[in-house]
Amino acid sequence: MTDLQEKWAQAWPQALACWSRYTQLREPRWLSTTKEAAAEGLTGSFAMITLSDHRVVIRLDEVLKHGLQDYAVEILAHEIGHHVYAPGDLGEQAVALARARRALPTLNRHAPMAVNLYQDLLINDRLVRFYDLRIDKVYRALAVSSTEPASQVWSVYLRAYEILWGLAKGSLGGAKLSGSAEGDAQLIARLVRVYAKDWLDGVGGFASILFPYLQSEEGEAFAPLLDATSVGRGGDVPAGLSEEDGGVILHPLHDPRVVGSSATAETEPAGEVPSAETSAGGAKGQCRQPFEYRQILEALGMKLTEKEAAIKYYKEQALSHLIPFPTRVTPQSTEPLAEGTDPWDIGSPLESVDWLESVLVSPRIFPGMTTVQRAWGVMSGHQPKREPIDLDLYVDCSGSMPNPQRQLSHIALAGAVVVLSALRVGARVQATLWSGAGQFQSTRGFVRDENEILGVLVGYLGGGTAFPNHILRQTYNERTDSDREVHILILSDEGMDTMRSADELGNAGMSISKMALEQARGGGTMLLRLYHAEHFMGQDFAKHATLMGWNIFPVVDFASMVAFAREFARQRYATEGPQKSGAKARR
Amino acid sequence: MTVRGPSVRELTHHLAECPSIFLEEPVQPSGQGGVYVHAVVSDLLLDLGGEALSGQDLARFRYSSREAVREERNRLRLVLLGAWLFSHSGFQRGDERERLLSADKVHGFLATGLNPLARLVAADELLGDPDRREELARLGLDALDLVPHGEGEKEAKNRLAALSSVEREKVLAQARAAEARARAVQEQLARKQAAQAAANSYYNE
Repeated sequence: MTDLQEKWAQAWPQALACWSRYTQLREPRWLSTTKEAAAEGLTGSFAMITLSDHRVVIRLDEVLKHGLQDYAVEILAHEIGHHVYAPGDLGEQAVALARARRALPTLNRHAPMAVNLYQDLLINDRLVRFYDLRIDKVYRALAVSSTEPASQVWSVYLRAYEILWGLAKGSLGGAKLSGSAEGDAQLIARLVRVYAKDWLDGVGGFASILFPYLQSEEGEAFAPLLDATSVGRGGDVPAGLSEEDGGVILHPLHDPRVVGSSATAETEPAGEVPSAETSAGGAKGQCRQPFEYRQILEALGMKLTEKEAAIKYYKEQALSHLIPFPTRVTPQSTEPLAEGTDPWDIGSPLESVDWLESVLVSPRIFPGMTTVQRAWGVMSGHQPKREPIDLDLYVDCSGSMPNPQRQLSHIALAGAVVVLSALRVGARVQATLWSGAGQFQSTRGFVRDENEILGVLVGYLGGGTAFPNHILRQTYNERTDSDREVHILILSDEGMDTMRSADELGNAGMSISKMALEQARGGGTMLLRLYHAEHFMGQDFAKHATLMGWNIFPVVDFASMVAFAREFARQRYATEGPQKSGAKARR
Repeated sequence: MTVRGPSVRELTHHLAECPSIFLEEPVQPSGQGGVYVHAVVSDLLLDLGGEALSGQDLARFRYSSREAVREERNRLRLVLLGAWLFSHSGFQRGDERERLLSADKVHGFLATGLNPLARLVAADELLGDPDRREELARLGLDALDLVPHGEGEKEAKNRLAALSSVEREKVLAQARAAEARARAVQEQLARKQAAQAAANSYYNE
């Protein structure tokens, strides 16, 4: 095995040169056992790439098993091709997966395989045409080592290679094809050449060709070749994935670039494959649904829980709508004043050690014994200081609300906009997820941990509806003027009127609400998913709450979410913006 | 005995460099157009050692009527491209008898051999697409019973079969029928998946 590894390592520079003399990738990780392969996440195939750390992984024992030991340059150049050509980066891989999924309704699990096979075709055709590599012999060797008879889809795939490289029918080991399957192989070959430069545009068409075959076959024959199905393992989530890319999925038979305009003119133009996510009540052509966003991340090989994916989804969606969050101006800022030294102990941050003072104490340093750190006091400053107001967020996740982890919730998105805007200016946030009586989750008071707060925002309990008046009471009952001002934001629907109910101590709900608003001093907003806003606003609860000082915004779609963000910013900023409020405070 | 012709690479390169005169419109009965196809073909046949067109042969390389312009235009334009292909010096080798034979075959090919291709591929596409250029080059070699330089007879036949627009159209017609059935299923499943997605968004795990 060591000899083989040495031989393959020697072929690495030649394989790199197939793409460019300037290609720089680290030498592959060479594995020899099932245990090592499992640790790397390599199962089924003899090679794998990961885009997160730009590595190629080769399993030498499987290389021997398939009789591929003489094709080092071919296989290594192929793996490098995934890094430098298709997919190249995680963002393109994500778009490719999304398009393949749209072409494979209910067969989404096959999307990573379809994308991998398509990319293999592009890479291999390039390596054969431009560098005359013996990729056909690799496939022949695989056919010899395979114990299973060639499936229909595998045979179509091999036939496409035969057409591309001018090989005789069946020479790569595929079975005899029907007329329509031969047509599909012709289409695949043509597609690969047509979309060689802008490969992403052909991925949907390729998946469309595979669709009828995958309905009846699972495609296990491809397992040894699937080297790019988990390329995002351990990587960062690519940006922009929460947006639909808007690419049209056309079967190559209806694609003028593939079949030529003269041939297509004879047939009726076919419609685009309807996509599940755009038909599910979401915003067509704008946002992907959270469930699909997570499925694409999974297909990239990323292991995220539904909640973690939802956090990333809403954060990405919210970032382009951030608003100026209100801040207060305090009369004077404080400035740090050095006040000698304090002992530095082992648990303190290393960077806070004052080394000069420590050496003066003892030339010989004993950490925790002779180390000291600078002690700082404060003195009055000359400039007024801006201090953000905090945010107290209540998120309704009763059964009447959609699960934000599955479907885009514009209420949750609006909440994310306000939360991220608040955190951006240094505010602390307390978030409470509530449903029925006694069903709630909360952050540990007012915190600045973005993930903890967004985790509550996108949470879902799906029970009854009972506003948690007791938390409102506990939060504001003992608050004093020296505490920071707080803006209260409640995300709910018609169930908001359960705020009227008394708490467990018998206090009237609206009294608690009034007390909380007064003690918070930063105002209150109810962001409600109301489809009959006029009716709701005409009811006693809404009138009473408005008189009390609550701002009520109905949000049901993307446009109303943007309108809310704009209006929230205008109201809060115009009346409590930094300069104006500062001037008021000084007067 | 296998007779070698020019290599496919040489011929496709030659086609890619087709001069603009061969791309001009064939002269129509109305007098519009820039090139007399029959004159071009006659010149070619003379160059190959054959005889100029005459009588009924001339009619094959002209529009048959004003009404037929739309139908016959692509065929005549392909004849011009075919004439340019055979103007490659590689076709003008051999002794007088061989060249005469070539001229007969070229005449036959230009008169009728290009008709199936003309029904499927537009002349502009034929020049702009490397696969189609290769197809025309191989069709030309095959018409003259020549094997491309650097290839075996079987390999050349395989390659021509793989590139053949006529063969491709046959299998694509079958694929179209299968795709129509698959698309119906695909659309039905997409709607089903959409309905499930909408329903699932209200349920917790």
